[in-house]
Amino acid sequence: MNAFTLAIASLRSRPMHSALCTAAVAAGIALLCAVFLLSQSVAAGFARNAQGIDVVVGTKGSPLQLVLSSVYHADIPAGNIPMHAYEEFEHHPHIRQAIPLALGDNFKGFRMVGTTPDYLDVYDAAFESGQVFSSLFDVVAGADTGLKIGEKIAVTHGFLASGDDVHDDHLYTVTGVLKPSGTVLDKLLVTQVESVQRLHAGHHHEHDSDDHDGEEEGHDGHDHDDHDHAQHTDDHHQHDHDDHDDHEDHHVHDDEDAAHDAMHQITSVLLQLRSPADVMRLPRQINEDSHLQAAVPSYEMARFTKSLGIGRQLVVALGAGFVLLAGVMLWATLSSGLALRRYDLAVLRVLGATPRRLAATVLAEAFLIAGFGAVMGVVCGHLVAYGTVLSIDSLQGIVLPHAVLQPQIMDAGFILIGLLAGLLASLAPSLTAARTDIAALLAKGRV
Amino acid sequence: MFLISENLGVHRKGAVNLSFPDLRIDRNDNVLLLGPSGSGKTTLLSVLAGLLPPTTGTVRVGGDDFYALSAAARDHVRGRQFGFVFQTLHLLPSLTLSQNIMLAADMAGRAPEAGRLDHLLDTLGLVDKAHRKPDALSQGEQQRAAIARAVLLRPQIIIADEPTSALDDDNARVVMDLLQDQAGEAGAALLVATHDNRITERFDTVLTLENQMKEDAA
Repeated sequence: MNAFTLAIASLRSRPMHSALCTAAVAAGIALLCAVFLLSQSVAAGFARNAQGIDVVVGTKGSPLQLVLSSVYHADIPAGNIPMHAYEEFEHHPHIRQAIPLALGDNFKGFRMVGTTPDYLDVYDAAFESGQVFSSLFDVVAGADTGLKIGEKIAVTHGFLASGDDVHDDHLYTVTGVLKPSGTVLDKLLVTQVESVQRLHAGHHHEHDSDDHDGEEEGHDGHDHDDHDHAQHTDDHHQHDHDDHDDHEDHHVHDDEDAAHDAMHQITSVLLQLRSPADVMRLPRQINEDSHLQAAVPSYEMARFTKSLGIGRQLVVALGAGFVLLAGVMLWATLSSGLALRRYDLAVLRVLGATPRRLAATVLAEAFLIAGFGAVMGVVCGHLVAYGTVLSIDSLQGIVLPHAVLQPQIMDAGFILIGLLAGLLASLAPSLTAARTDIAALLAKGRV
Repeated sequence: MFLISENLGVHRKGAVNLSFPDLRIDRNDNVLLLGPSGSGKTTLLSVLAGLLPPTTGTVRVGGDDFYALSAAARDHVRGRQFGFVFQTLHLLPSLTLSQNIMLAADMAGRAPEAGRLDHLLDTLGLVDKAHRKPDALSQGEQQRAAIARAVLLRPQIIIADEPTSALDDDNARVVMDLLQDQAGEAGAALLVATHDNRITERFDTVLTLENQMKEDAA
């Protein structure tokens, strides 16, 4: 029988105390583990999805929104930019590659991206089956979409699967399905820019006829508040509602304008630059000179993560507080256990145990509780992180839920933190055990 | 001579100075330390067992000056060559009966001879109770377990502190029979400290301690 068997016997004789202490250690470690795990995988996810994208150019507005919507497909875009902006970038001497993006539709929540085949190369996409889109309304489906080659799909206007504005006048045909890549691409449908543009140009004509058929309120039923069309298109509609006198005169014209615009608009352009030095210079130039906005994903995400940092620090502090509390609980439990077992310890000494051995028994108790608690904490931390990713939709494009369940090197660190807390908590009690004055205890009498 | 003490005295702050008669105990000796409570019996036992350095005098165990050894070495000697029985028996409540008996071997860091545990359980009628916790044992069973623990490693000396004072005559006789049988079987000396006059006639050597704490006794 060694220190651990004695410790186990002692812990089992007080199951409630032992369980509470273990739970307290586990709770603290789980909090710490989940927070670090989430922030680490979010940061890694941000980096993975922005790899090969130096600069994003879109309409003026929030640079963070531009990055979130065009790189991570997590937010809605603020508006559109003219197609010729992309054409200019294509021949810019400092730009190695410019990739246009036209967003605004979805299929069952999977976003449709009008772009060029270059977009697939950014993510090193590999085909599970089929091939890249070659003609209008061909679509390549991400691995998570569940689509198969040859399927014909009608997309919904906007970014919500629940939208009721279905583009059923043109069906897309799936020509390729991608292998999982662990990036946003898994949840995207990729097609030519022109497919998206056509659909939206047609959409405006549709509105035109709708409105002449029925009442004016018809507008409200449609998804013009879905942000995906050019801002000034929305402005026109707003104007129409404000100014009913002009309505009949201008409406047809406006929508024709809009249709025309839709054919010549895209949401944003992703840029790969020739030189890292330009990553600082070029966005500044674009922001000063034009009506466009350039944002650097790595910079925006660093700022974003930093602004989240306060919340993260709070949770980390909470977790650390828990671990501290668990340490104090452990201390109290060990000490009260010692007080109860003073005579047990005296007996062990009389039977030949050295003071060091008694200290080791107490230490073993602390290590058992702290170690078991920390391991449980790490397991729970992973589960909590997994649950968090599953319950926050926009995280799923960025963090792979199953990756969160994988053991990490830092898990060992958390178990170490737990053990360290146990060690600290047991220092004083094990010293007490070692220093017990056996003779005085025996002389004083029996418990 | 296994155990020799000379000129022992213990002076503690705030307590009466205790002094003790000299002892010479060899294997197979049966020695009784008779004295009222307050005479320092338990203190003397602690000194003899290497748990309390005396202020004056020496203790020799197997010829060596016991307190010239390091504390850890004394613990080692005590574990292997001394067996103890306490008045309260003190079995660890978290361990089974046989684990409690084996504790003597575990703490001494020496395995008992093969079959020793089974033999003791058998002799003392504890075989069915081997896996019970002390709570589930009768007083008599606990006493027998405590004696088994004391003799497990065939120590040179068995020290018993008030083994009978809480027992009625019949039980006191049973316990003393067991202690003397087992000590004899193990070839060990038996040193019993008690204020219980009933067992005096069982011993060849009886040393009487005076009440040294008269002033405090009131």
